[in-house]
Amino acid sequence: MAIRIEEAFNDCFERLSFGESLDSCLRSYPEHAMELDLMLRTAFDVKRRAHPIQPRPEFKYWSRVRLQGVQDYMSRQTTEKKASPFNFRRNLAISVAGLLVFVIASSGTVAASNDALPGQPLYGVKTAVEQAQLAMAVSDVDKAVLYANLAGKRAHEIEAMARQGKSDYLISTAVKMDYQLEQAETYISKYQAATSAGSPAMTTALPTDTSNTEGYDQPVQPAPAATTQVKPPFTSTDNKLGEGQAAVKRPLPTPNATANVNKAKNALNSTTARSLTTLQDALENAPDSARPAILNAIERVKKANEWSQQNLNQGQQQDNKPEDFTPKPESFPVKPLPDVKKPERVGNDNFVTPDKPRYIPPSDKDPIRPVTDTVKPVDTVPNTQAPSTTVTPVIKNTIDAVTSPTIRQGSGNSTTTK
Amino acid sequence: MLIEEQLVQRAVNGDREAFTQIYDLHFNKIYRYIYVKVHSQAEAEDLTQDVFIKAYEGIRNYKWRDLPFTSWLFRIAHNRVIDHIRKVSKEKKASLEEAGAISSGDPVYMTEQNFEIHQLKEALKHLPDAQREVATMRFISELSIAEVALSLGKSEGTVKALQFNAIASLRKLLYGKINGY
Repeated sequence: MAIRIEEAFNDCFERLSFGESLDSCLRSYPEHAMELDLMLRTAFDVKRRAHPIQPRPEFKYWSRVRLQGVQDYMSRQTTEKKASPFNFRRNLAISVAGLLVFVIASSGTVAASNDALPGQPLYGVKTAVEQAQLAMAVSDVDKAVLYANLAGKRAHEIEAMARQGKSDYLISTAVKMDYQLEQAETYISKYQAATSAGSPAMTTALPTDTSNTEGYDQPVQPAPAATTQVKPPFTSTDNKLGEGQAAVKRPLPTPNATANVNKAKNALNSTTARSLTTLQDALENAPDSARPAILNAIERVKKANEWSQQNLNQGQQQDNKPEDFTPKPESFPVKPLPDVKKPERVGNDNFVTPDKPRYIPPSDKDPIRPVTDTVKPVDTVPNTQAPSTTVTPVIKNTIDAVTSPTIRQGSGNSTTTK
Repeated sequence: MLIEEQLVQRAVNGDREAFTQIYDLHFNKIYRYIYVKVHSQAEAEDLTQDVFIKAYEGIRNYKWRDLPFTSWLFRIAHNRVIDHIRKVSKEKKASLEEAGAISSGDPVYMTEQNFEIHQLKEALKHLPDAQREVATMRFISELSIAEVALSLGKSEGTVKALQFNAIASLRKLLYGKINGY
């Protein structure tokens, strides 16, 4: 019985979202191949066009603050209904005492909050300080560096929570880390787009997705040499969708711009390298229930690391004077990761795939070198692809919560798995 | 019980931190969904905020067994947008469409990006309601087929058909004049 084209389209759309190639998918439906090809290109172009639609970070933050205000108001109303009017003096005394304690303790609070973990009372202070730092960061480069550092902090929190066997806030912390890595990548790409940094040609096509804020879904790439066209996330020589893309003249990057880009890339590179080791430590100490989330976080950090590494390398190759503007990436020992097989992503070589080289500590000769033969999988860590009656639902949900929208979107039947 | 369901259950029981985590998970999707349906960024921001406040107000009465949380949240968003559009059309308020992408500081790049978003919004306006709803949820907010089906109260088969037809229409609207497909 022939499969209806709607079914075939949906199946291919999800398979492509998970990284399968277009050709491979079309081979499954030879009778619909031609039409499916066009429809899938359109679907991914719609996705690409919609991708830059993101809430302003400051709006998202203040919206959350307002929501917390509503929560406060509602909980106060509930409490006031229960409270007796005779408690007024007692409440006043408590308030005054609380205020005094606050004034005395506030000087040390910020410092003390530095080690706070999600769910702890001082964690709110820590995040407020971070938001203040972000608000004060003016340039895209500063923001990128700050977001990279914040992502590193989240990795440490994940490690600390895993060590303490706390998994309640692990997923949300991983989500925050993911978001902060995305922001770092986005600001770097924005700055590159604005300054045309890393582009050796005077005339380049406009990059189409440099405001990527969801990271590895459709990764941001520096503008390649010569004129390029918009590509959907699959391989094919046909490029119908790119027609009409205008080539725009841009000035060459200034030395300062190049140095700034490299500074931000380097910050992201070193933070992700550090975070990898931290998360690998976390994986060793984590309870079973937390491992899928940590594995996903590791994958995410690997992607960001590879992204920054590749961009850094490109930047080094393309710089006129790399020795002047390119800081050397830091070296951190990275333990071998468990062999978590994920579907290959086709047409976008910025991402980690099972066959791609891993990040390993640099040597004197080559600051960042890929090695494929020294990495051994850790046997004790469960493979997320391996079916397990106890772990599978957790993995599915974790992927929903932590990984990219592409993966989430691909889980076409996620509700039924819940 | 899955982690998201546990999270929602904690929020139902009054756990504010759990609701904040839910907010973080769904905020961008809801914003995108709303943005392509309204005129301006300001409207989208106001409505997105309203959706989460309404969700918080109503979460104590929420039951997972009736509807998965994502579908419930998108129903709130859908209803809020419908109310807003009715109100705006009554007021007949003239408004300029604004840029939707995050500002990158490069006006040329922003112009191109915003033009593409504008094209997409215009194309979506020409779709029948059901197709537009499915296309928005599926390709812009990136919901699964099951989530879209439950949000709209339709079968998964119907959603797949609507999704395909929506893409076929969008193809004509977006590229028909360029390459003849």
